[in-house]
Amino acid sequence: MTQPFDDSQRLLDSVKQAVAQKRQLSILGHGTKAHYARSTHGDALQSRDHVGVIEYQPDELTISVRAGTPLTVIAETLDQHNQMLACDPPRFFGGGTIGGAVASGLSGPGRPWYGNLRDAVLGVEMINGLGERLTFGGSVMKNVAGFDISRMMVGSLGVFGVILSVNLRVHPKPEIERTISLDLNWDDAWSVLCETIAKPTAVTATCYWSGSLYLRLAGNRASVEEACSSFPSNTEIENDVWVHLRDHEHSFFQSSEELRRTWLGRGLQPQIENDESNLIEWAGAQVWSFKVHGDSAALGQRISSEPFNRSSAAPSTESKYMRRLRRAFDPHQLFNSDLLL
Amino acid sequence: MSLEFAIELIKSTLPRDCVLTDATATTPFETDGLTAYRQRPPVVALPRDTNDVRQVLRICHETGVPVVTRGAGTGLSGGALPLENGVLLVLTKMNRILEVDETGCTATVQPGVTNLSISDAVADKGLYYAPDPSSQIACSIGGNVAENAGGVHCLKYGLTLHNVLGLKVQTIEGDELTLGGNGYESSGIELIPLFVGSEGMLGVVTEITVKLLPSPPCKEVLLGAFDDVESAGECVAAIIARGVVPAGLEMMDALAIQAAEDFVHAGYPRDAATILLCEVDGTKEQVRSDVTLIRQLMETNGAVNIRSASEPDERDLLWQGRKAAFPAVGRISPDYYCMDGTIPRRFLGKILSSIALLAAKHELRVANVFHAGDGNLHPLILYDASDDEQLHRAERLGVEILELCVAVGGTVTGEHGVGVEKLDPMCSQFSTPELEQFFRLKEVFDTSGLMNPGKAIPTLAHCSEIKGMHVHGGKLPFPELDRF
Ligand SMILES: Cc1cc2nc3c(=O)[nH]c(=O)nc-3n(C[C@H](O)[C@H](O)[C@H](O)COP(=O)(O)OP(=O)(O)OC[C@H]3O[C@@H](n4cnc5c(N)ncnc54)[C@H](O)[C@@H]3O)c2cc1C
Repeated sequence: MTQPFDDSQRLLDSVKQAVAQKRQLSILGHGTKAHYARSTHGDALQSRDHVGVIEYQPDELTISVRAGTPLTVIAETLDQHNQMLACDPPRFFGGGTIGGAVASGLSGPGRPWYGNLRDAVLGVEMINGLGERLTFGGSVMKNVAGFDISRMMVGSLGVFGVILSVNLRVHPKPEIERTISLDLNWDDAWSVLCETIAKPTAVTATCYWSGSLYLRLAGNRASVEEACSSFPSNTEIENDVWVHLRDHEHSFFQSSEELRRTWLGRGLQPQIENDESNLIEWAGAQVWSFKVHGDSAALGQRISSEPFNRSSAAPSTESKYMRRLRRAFDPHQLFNSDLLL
Repeated sequence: MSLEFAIELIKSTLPRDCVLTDATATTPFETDGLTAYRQRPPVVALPRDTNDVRQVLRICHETGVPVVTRGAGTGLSGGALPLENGVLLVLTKMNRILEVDETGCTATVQPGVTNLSISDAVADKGLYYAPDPSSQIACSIGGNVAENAGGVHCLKYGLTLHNVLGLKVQTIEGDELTLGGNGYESSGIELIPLFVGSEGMLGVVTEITVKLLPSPPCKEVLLGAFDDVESAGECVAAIIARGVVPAGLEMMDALAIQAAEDFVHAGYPRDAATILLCEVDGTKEQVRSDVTLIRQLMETNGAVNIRSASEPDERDLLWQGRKAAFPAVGRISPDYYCMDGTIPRRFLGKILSSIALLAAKHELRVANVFHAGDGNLHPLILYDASDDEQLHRAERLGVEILELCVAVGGTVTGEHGVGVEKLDPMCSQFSTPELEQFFRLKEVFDTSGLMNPGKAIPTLAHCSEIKGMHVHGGKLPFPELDRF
């Protein structure tokens, strides 16, 4: 296990130096999400050595960790008390730091039922573009003192500053988890998916691919067993399919084509051909496809459909405010200046 | 001059019945739920729709007149307190539910819709909107968004933030921001968290899409009575530690129990030092096993009496006492002052004992009602406002309680917001660069500083004034408590 180490002073000095020397910085954790978002402007600022669990209070369901702490270390720590980070951010290539997870804001297959990382963040400590060390939020469950800057950091790709540490809400692990697979055509699968949102069920993750619907069922033994038996002719499969899906190691993701991600509103059925070219998660709200095969334009009414690569993301409609917002945190445009323009 | 001009422009833009300037008509708007502060607004504008909101904002922007947004006015921190020289924009006419999507389980509503009416409108579909502030019959969903309101069921189902999927916001510059939508994520940086809890300082929320949840098939409420506060506090920690996340976990102390019992006759044990109310929900099997476990934990942590209620009427009765606790306390004292600090749960017992000591020092009574599962305290300080000296003591006690919360790693407000009320304690919670960062952020959306100015974030001048008063020789209050 990586030894805890407080590297915050060096990070702070680096930022101050960058301000003084008018240099730019690209912030980096483990670099496991370089294919998703990677700044190439400026000197690399490594947060990976700023590691360690600062405080873990199982009774409070809270953990406070330094940004460079590997996701695996956090998972192992929580596991000792039968707890977990419910939003289950991807660990591409088996790695990744919590700082990188917060900055990219990605969630695992349980998103609709367990929330995302934003929902779990209680507070952050950060360095802004003036070289100031700031703390927002806290480690308590409810806190409305001041604007909620800590949750805004989730998915911001580091453009507001260097995340030093994060306080997170954690969850008790369910007593048991089971995964079942059902052979269903897409329309029938869709009806089941709708039920997982509209009815109280034990489902905590879904995936539809190639004529099969996978469901993860979790809770206490009796309720999971009851849920299993409510799906006739199901096959029980290994739970690790969710890890493979989360980390894009599932065979669907093994392609050299450009991977695309499409988000749909809740309750809108993605219009897909019944084939292998789309993989549908989040009760239908997230669809993965590859550029050549899966024509994501045909997926129906959608929120967005873009390459799984934020480095080249199109400017957002709120770009006027976004530019000002960046300046409010980083007036000299030090951080990841080529991202989210 | 510019105010008069703005009023004329508003009068010529909105229909007559949507603009109030007469003292008799505007006086009801002079205060919100924090009645110690009052200011009669020179003009009240009651927009009928988003377009009216945009017109009023445009006029304010052009004339440089500040604007305070108000929902139902139930806020407890003076966030909707009018300005002497500003427009009060009241959104109660915008009270339509625009769309309910039964398949996706979402509702899109106008800001003036009351919290409870959303759940009422979808109940026949087996759905409900989870955050349930005690003020839910009156407070508006727009106000809930602006305060990130919580309720007794937020331990399991989250705060307003966790249940909002999309927002439409009007900025003073005349832009409409569409944030989120009806899905789980949207491309670009997520600004919803910034607007949730922003107390009307950044823009006016004109449309809200919320997540609806399926009503749980089974619910049960347990009431545990304890002889002392510490045991109840330990029981709370034990329940959470065992991996149960109850739908609600609330605590009341002796004074609150007696007041509530006299008011609604919920059958609370009048002689108990503390009660815990714990609701679990889910499938029948889940509820059964959770109830068994919680009962056991209550017993091992010294509960002297445990009652359970599974029928809707019985459950409602038990909750009624809790939900009516504020008005109930209002019956036993001419006035009360409601605090809203949040602490790490493990300090519950300690903090309650400290509050009792502080109350004794200031010779005031305090009733405690709170969201124990979240560590969110609502000490109600009883006083008589007609006695200036008592009011002063009550305020002093309030500040000391909040300092105590910050000292153990907590916060000065869990759900009621800062408003005008908690500007002082904000100075002890945030450093100068942090406060400056807040102001730079406000400027992004409100370049001219016209949106609810003077609220929520204390100016540096304000802080340096009061810091001189409160920090005695650099010593922190309560050195005997652990800090982290
Ligand atoms: C008896 C009682 C019990 C309460 N219990 C709880 C509780 O359990 N949990 C809890 O969290 N709160 C509780 N409250 C506090 C209060 O009800 C909440 O803060 C509520 O969210 C306020 O809603 P409102 O519509 O009354 O807002 P208002 O008081 O009108 O406004 C509150 C703030 O929101 C801003 N605002 C309002 N609408 C908008 C909008 N559309 N766009 C932008 N800004 C806006 C205002 O400027 C102001 O700053 C209670 C209050 C009372 C009186």
